[in-house]
Amino acid sequence: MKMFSLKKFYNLAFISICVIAFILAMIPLAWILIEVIIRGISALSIELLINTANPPGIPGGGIANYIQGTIILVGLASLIGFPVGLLLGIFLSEYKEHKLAPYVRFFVEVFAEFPAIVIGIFIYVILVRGDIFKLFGVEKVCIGGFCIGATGFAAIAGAISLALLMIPIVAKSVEESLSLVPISIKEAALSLGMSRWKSVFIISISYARSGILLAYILALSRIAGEAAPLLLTVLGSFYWFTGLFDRIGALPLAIFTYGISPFEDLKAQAWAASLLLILAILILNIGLKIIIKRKFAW
Amino acid sequence: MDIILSVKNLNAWYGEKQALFDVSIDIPRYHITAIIGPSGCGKTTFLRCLNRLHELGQGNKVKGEVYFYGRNFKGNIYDPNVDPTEIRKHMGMVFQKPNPFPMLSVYDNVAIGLKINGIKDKKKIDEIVMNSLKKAYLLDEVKDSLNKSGASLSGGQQQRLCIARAIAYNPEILLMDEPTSALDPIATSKIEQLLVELKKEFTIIIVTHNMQQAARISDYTAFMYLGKLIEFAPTEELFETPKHELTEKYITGKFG
Repeated sequence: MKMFSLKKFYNLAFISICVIAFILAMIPLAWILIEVIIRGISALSIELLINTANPPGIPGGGIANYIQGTIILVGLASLIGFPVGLLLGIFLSEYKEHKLAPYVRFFVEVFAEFPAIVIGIFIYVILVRGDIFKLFGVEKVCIGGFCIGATGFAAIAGAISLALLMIPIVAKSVEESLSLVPISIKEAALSLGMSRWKSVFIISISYARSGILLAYILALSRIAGEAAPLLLTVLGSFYWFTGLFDRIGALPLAIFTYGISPFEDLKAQAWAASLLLILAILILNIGLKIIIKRKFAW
Repeated sequence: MDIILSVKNLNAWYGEKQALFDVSIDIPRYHITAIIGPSGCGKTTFLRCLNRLHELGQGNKVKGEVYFYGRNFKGNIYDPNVDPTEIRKHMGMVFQKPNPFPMLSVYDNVAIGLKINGIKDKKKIDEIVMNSLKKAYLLDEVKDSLNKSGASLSGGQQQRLCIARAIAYNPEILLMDEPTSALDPIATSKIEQLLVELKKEFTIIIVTHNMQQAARISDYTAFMYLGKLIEFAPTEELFETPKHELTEKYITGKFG
């Protein structure tokens, strides 16, 4: 009888500790969310969403160009980062016995933990300042009539740094999703006479598609909020997008520059930008999960 | 006897562990050959060597010759110049646990084998899919749910869907690895009837731990023990007048 009640006590104590830990973890999170929502909503307006930024010191203006910039940067980064990450993930999961696999895995794991600002400074040196060209003793490389040299602060440099952040995240999650494909499904595909790569691309990827989509959204959420690498590669802009080799704005940059500015209206805009970023990430995540449940459930 | 597969001195390993020892057997065309034996005797390994699936496991090895006398392929399937994926197109496989592709519809589960074999004509695919489902005695039960997921069917239906998938691309041999062991008696008897029907068009090799099943449906039976082929004979003969002592002990239930 005594043993039993002691057991009960331990059980209760453990659950209480868990609950307290949960509450402690939730308080700052909820606080941030509430603060961002209250301050963000009071700063949000239609003008804010359709106007571009005013040069510093001139009141008013909006954050539309930052929204556009973030969409462009994240889109470009996805175009580069997702396919590369996907292929790396496939390689890691399906070609485990390949002699390069341990090195690739090590590279991906180290890269995934890399501080974003280090990737930023790397791209700054290599592309923005153009050291990669100097390395080969040239000012620029020309293919056909198209020349590329030191990019200066440019949208393309920012997109590449975000892509580099995205690759290991996508690769790791894709590897995990693919390793969940049952052997019986892979063998069924092979027994139909599919080659190995066909069975991966037609069957395994399709089986793991919801996990792969989630991997992409996870990576997207991560890079959409990054400011550090962008500070070193695109610097920011007050205007609409003008070209891949020009400076470009982005929501995290708006939060950074406006958040530390002395002007109250700009600070309010920083809150609005934060709210938009959080909302976008939330909607992406929740929306995708609903779609996956509806469409991909079996 | 018209032979479709002639296996000569087949040996197989899992890493260092040898699972098959010099198995030699001739499989007759358009008949059902059952492979029986206690758990771990190498029945499944043997089956998986016939469509070169065994060698895909890490560290697995196969030595020996398997001559296949097919419509479009004649020769040793373990010849170094032979592409295993080509071999697998001549053989359909049905696994122990039903494994339809859950992300594909009932229809696509059957159609996928055709599509990867380069058939693009939609009408033709349609015709073959319906015909395969019919042959697998499944069409009547699924004709209203062709677009539903392959995993939405019952276990027995899923296994018949796997059979439809395996026969759709018109292989010559059906390899069946205890196809009814995960099913209830009614589903089992449906599949047994189906197999007897299918041997008109296909050569069937079925691995089973169920001796009654072997006795009911097969024309020839092979008894394996500890990785060796002990006896191979017409089913009636093997069950009524076994020549080998081990076979007799096994079929009379003295071990196994």
